[in-house]
Amino acid sequence: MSPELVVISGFALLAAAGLAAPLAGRLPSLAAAALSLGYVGLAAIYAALIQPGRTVLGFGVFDSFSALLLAGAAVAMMLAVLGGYEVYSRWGWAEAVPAVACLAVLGVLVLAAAGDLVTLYAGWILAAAATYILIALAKDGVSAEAATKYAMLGGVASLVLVAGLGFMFAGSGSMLLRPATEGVFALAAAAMVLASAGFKIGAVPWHGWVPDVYGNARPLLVAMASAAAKAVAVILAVKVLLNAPATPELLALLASLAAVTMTYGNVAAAASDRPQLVLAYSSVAQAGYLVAGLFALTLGGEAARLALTGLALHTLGYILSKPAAFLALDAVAARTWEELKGSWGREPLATAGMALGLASLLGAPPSLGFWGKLYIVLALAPHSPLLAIVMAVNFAIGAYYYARMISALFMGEGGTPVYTLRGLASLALGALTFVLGLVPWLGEVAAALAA
Amino acid sequence: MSVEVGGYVLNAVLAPYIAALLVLLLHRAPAPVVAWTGVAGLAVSAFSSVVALVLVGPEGAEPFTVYWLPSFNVAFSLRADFLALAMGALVAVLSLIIGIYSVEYIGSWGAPRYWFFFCFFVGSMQTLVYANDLYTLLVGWEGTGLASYALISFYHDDRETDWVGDPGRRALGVPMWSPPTHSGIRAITFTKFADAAMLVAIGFIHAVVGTTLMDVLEPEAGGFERVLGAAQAAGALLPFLFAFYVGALAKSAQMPFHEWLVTAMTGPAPVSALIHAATMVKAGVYYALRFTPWLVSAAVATGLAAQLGAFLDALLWLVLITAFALATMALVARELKLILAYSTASQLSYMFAAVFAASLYALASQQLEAAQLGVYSGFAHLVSHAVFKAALFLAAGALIHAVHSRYITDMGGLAGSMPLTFLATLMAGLSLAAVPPFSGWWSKDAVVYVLKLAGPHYAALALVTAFLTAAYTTRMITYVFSEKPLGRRAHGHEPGWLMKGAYLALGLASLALGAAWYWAVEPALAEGFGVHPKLDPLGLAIGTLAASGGAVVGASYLAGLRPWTLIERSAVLRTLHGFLYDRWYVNAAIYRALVYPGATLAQLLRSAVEAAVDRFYHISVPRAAVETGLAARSLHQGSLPAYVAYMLLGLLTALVVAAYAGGWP
Repeated sequence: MSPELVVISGFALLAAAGLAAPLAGRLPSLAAAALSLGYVGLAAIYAALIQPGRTVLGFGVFDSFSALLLAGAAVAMMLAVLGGYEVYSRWGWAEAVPAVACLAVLGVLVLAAAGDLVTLYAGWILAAAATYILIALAKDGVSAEAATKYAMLGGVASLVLVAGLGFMFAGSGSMLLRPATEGVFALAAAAMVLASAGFKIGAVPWHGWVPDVYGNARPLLVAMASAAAKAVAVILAVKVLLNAPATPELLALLASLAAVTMTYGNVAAAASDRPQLVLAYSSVAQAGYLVAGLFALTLGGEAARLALTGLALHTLGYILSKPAAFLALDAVAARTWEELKGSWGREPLATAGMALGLASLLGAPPSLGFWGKLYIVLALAPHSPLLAIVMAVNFAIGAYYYARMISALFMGEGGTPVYTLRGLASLALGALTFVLGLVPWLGEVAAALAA
Repeated sequence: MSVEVGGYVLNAVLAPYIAALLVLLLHRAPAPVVAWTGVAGLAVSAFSSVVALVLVGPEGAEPFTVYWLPSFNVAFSLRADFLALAMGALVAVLSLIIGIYSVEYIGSWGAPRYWFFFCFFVGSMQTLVYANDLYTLLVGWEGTGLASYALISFYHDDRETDWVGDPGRRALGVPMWSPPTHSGIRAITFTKFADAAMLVAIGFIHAVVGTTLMDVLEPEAGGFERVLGAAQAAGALLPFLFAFYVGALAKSAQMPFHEWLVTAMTGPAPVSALIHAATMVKAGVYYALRFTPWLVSAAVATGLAAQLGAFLDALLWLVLITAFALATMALVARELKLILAYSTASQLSYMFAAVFAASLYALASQQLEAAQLGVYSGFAHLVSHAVFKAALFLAAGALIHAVHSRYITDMGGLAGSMPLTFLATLMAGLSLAAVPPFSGWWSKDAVVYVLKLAGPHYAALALVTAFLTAAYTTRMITYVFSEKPLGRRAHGHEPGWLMKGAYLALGLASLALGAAWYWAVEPALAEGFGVHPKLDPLGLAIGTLAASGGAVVGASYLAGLRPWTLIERSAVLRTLHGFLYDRWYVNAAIYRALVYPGATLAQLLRSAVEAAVDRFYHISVPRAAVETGLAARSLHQGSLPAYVAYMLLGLLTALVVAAYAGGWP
């Protein structure tokens, strides 16, 4: 199966599953979404494995790095859609959830396969709009406010991206997405793409929406949105920044962005009083690690290879572990630290999934989170020991609140155990972060893009 | 050594450790099961060590070595020369007898803890005894320290009946009483202090000869010659010798380290017996017996005889003064076990004195084999002391238990109600007093004989001490068993056969050893150490005179003169009595000079340094984290315009940087 076929068949299936949902019932929509998402996940991994590196297709490009993230997003979305069914099937608009989920991953697929600026933007806006809608689908006051903020800020970010893409065109004179050249236009384009990608991953100072959306909206829907959003941002940033002009100023900007983002996210997470807010701020912290990876990526050479491996493993870990945590939180329904205690007795599956997911976010070996952080530190340490030290300190701060959360899960008396689909999905995701951490070729497939 | 002997020696070392492990596993079992498990381990050790001694005999055998840190030349190595075999057999047999006594004495309270540490204690002592490697020796050495700490504070609820000293009595403002937990800490602190120096000495030896195997230090291998040469070249001969010996002096309670042994009486009576008779305090003497002759030949070979002689002379004076001082303290003590503790330290001094004096003589006369005579005399006294002191302590445990008081003034007239205990105490006591024909008479005279070789003044001091020993022993026995008790009338009762059988056997053994001394014991020891001791009729006569004189004085002391009333009448005597009763103020001096200033320094460091560090890590850092976190979070009020403003600000920054990077302006 060639990469073209994977992209085209995946596109067709996801589009069909997404667009046909209003005509089908709840269950057929779920089945169609789960099957097409599962197919895209497996096919993307398969294609990445047989075709590592970057391949130019007739209608775009295929690269193994983006394919890995696409696969991760598809699998996470599939499990979230399956696990959440017990919740949204009771909503009057139940079929909308799998449909929008498919469209969000479709956006990721388009972005991953984009070879030109217009397709890039199309993928971006499709995924973006789908995630805003996902957040709003709970149709209550909190979700509405969160979705509105998300959409409005996302609108600003999209405008910035359009402007950035315009500068890219101005700089290179071509609509094709090509390695940026020298010059003020290219730099401005890099800056603006960085700003929009920074918005998407929640880097400081574009992170304003994260606590409001991740911290307040329905955790089930956050689980779905977070998987797609991170994949979109990292794919976009890597496509534009790989081989970007590595001026000292850009490097300094990225490094300070990374340091500020991870520190701010961790400190705020450590001081948060609600589990969901901790998870929200932890997303900001994890975004900081990704920016650090982008910093190493722009260094080129061996650092870029290591950074690609790190970025791929770390993003993949995040895409799997964050939904694991949010799905579990939805199942446990803990609004305070106190309510989190005794989860092990009440929701064993969800608790296990959450513990595994948090352990991966913390960086416990042999999870994907561990390998990702390790490779990012390895990539940047020779060039910026200071940033490496800042990262290490941040790992320590992160370990504090992740460990605190994990221990809270297993403390206290539980009630009678309840087994939920969300818990099962969370456990599957959590287990994947650790199982995939033992797969040796993932990093090589990702790093092949640098060659 | 042959595989067979190696197996027995290994058994002797490991059996108590295995028993300790089993006790740990069986800690929930009924107390008798735990107790007999421990005794079984001790029995295996006793059997194995006796068989090893019989199999090898006086010639000794080659060491048995397994390397466990090959890169550092550190080995687990056991030796089977006569000294090790005889010492190991003595330790194991006495420990077994004390263990059997403990089955009845200890009962069920804390039994698993007691038996674990008891067996661990014996295993560590056997490790130390059979060690053919300085690190192996140190492992056993520290093991006995640890176990003694745990057993001295065995009654960790600090009941007043188990204290040492009179509650409320102070000397120079320093409390002179010590509850069990305090005593345990004293024991481990006093000995560890010196062990640290010993570790330095061992490290120095390793640095010079490249191994800690003791074979290398033997005169034929010349290890000590290189060590002494290196120490002399570094100008550190005296510090080395001091570091090498101070651990042994502390372990064997020589001044001023005797203080730990005195308060160690807070432990159960069988623990006192174990510490005083077989294990722990004998370790220091054993160490001196083992290494001093080697050092003597090394010093002669390297021309450092004068320096070593001066050092050993100083040590000889120290131990003779210890012997004298502790004997004077025993004269006035009122606590039964305390009297025995003083006498232990005092008798240990005799053993040290024997080997130091003989070595001094060997260095002066250039007759190297004379040092071996000291080993013979020291070890002979070690054997007889081990037997009679074990008997005395075990009997003391029964007496204290019977009258519920540790004071001899509360006893009295117990001969009638406890006749077997009286008999055992009398036999062992006469041996301690060196009255013929008990074993103590023979061995003490052997010690006095070598002291006379070094100089008549040494022998004279030893004889004065022997006089005092006989006096306080008789005083003690009279007080406890006399028909005329001073305090309230006590009602004694004999304990069960496990207890009284144990000390009766030991009491009889001190008589039997004495009876067989000339025909069996002395020839066996002489052959083992390769010496030909000469009987010295004049010395024997003077020694006997001193002992009998002391005994008579001790007896009349009580019969004729009521000491309390006499002392109250005379201010001089009262002052003297207080000086002796407060242990020559050594304890007070140590506390005033070291403990209290140390505590003040610690308090100072705690309040100045520790508090600041503590405050930084546990208050300042968390508070800073919380404050920063809250400040960071306060940026978020959920205001959309603010978020847009942040975003645009960020974009603007990025653009400015990009423009600057692009060379614009």
